[in-house]
Amino acid sequence: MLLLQLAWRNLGRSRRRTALTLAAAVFATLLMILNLAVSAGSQKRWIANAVELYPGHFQVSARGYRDTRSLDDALVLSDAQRAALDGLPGAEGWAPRLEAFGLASADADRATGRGVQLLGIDAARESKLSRLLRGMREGRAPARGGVREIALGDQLARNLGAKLGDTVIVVSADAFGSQTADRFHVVGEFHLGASELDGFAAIVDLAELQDFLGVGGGLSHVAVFAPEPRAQTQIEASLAAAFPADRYEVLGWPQLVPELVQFFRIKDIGDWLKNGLLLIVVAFGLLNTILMSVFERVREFGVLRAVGMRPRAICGLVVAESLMLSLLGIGLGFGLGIPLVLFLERHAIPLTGAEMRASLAVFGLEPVLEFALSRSALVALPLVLVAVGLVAAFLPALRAGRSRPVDALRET
Amino acid sequence: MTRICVVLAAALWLAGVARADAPDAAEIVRRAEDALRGNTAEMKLRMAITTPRWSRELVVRTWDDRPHDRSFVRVLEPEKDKGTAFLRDHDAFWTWLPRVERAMRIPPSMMLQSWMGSDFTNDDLARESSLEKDYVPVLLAGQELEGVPAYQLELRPKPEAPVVWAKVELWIEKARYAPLLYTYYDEPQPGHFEPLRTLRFSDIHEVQGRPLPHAWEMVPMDKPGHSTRVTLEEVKLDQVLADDIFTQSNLRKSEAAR
Repeated sequence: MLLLQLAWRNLGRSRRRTALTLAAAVFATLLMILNLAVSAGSQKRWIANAVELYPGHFQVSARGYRDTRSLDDALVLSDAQRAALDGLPGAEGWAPRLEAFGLASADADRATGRGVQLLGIDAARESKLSRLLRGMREGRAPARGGVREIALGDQLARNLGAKLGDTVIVVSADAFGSQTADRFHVVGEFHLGASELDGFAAIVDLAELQDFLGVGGGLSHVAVFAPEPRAQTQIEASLAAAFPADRYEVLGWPQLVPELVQFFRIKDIGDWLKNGLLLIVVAFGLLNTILMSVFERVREFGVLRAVGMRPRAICGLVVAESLMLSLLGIGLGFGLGIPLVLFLERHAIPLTGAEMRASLAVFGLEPVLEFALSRSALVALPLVLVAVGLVAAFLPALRAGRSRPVDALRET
Repeated sequence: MTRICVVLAAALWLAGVARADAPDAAEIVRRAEDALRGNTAEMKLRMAITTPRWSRELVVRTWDDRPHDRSFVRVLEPEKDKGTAFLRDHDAFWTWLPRVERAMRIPPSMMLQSWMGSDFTNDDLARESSLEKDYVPVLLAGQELEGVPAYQLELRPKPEAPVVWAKVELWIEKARYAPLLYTYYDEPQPGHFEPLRTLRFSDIHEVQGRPLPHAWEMVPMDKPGHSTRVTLEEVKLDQVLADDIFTQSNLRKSEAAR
């Protein structure tokens, strides 16, 4: 107790030195908080980007469909199920979809067919939920009624040699396995930055595709959009109630975009390495300031030894001092850092470098630096920083403990 | 010493008998394929497709010209699919779409897709790959299938073959070299084979000296309740097929479907 009191007084005795070490601790804390916020922000951005591009946060399909991809296992919604989807708490909305594999070719004799993924969508709903229709570079979304309309991925359009206003031939298998073919008018061309969509996908109105394939009201799946993580548990429960597991399958986004989860696993390793390096730098910064302060206090420690203080107590004194300093520093760092991150969470920093913008555009990302408060920043970071502070204090403390009154005498 | 000599001689004699008895594996495959396809073949087939939810029937006429490596298929029934036609010339594969009156070239990647919703593939109907040309056969030990004396063969694809099945197991009747049962395998992991579908032949009677099965039933393993049964209604083997059957203009003649 006496030791702690002494340590506290020592901090007050040399304000400049204290301020310097404190500044180092605050700076280190801030740096770590911002670093974690940037990686949490980019993770959030990647999730939003991949999930909102098309898949959605949940997908409901009939059991068996995911294995067979067969129209035999199409999903047909009852009125009660529609009502349940409309009433999902905290969800942004839902979109019915029908997907089918087909071949498309230019509308010329002997043109080569290319594999195409037909996406039958409800444009009014889809435009409010996914980014699918926001990628429409030219033209518009296909509508229903009249002639059959289609929007092509830009790469697919190039491969087919089709432009806006042209017609293309689409062949697929209908609900009875029979071949179905028709002419579709190209009304739009989209670019979404995902090669599997730009190169192979074509958008058609849902009702038109249902008619083309003869599936009545059949759907491949219903996508539910619920970006708020806190609402997702409740939504999952409501979906499970409306779509019992023996006949339906409800999947969440980690199962829908497994490659994203994989990507985060790799990214986590990278983040961990980066944070580890940063922590080492922080530890050396603290070590340096504490060590310098110990060198300054040769006389002080010599006198303490001369009046009978044990080396171990001196060692403890230095550790106690730096522990107080780092606790104070971490506290201040959090006091500054958390509001800063909360502010930045709402005000993403736009990136202006042309190269950076271009490289993000490849992934269909907005050129902004996003921040997010991560749970690990709040829980793990203070503990880790205290541990680092202790480690950094240890060497100077040993050194202080070895002080001899003789050295103090020699010091002028 | 003499005893060993006697045993050896007996063994050699037995081996000789066995060899004389069992013809070369390639020869067995050739004769079975000849029975099924002839040198050339024109057939009228009735194809019954059964799934758990629906069933339907197609009637098609096929022309298979092995010497020139080309084939032609035209759908005669039902009304909905009538006129749809398929032409293969070497590795180019075309389909005629009567509804839009266009011929579309089907990419090679689609050869293993279902043909008209059946359990046969485009390749089965167009007969691009050949058990005789694209696989190396090995005679296995099996002696009879369901009481019928038969050869058991295992076919592995040649390295440069454009095909498809990791392994095909054939059972071929000994007496007439008629095909009885083909099992097609996938190889999901190296060295691990899984049967994907079986093709069973029955109703064998002779056509122009060949033991031709008149009923073929394809059953996929991964789709319970699905099967496709083909029955031969007309067969003409080994006739000379005119060049103008295998042309784009014949492909377009969707109305002249006889």
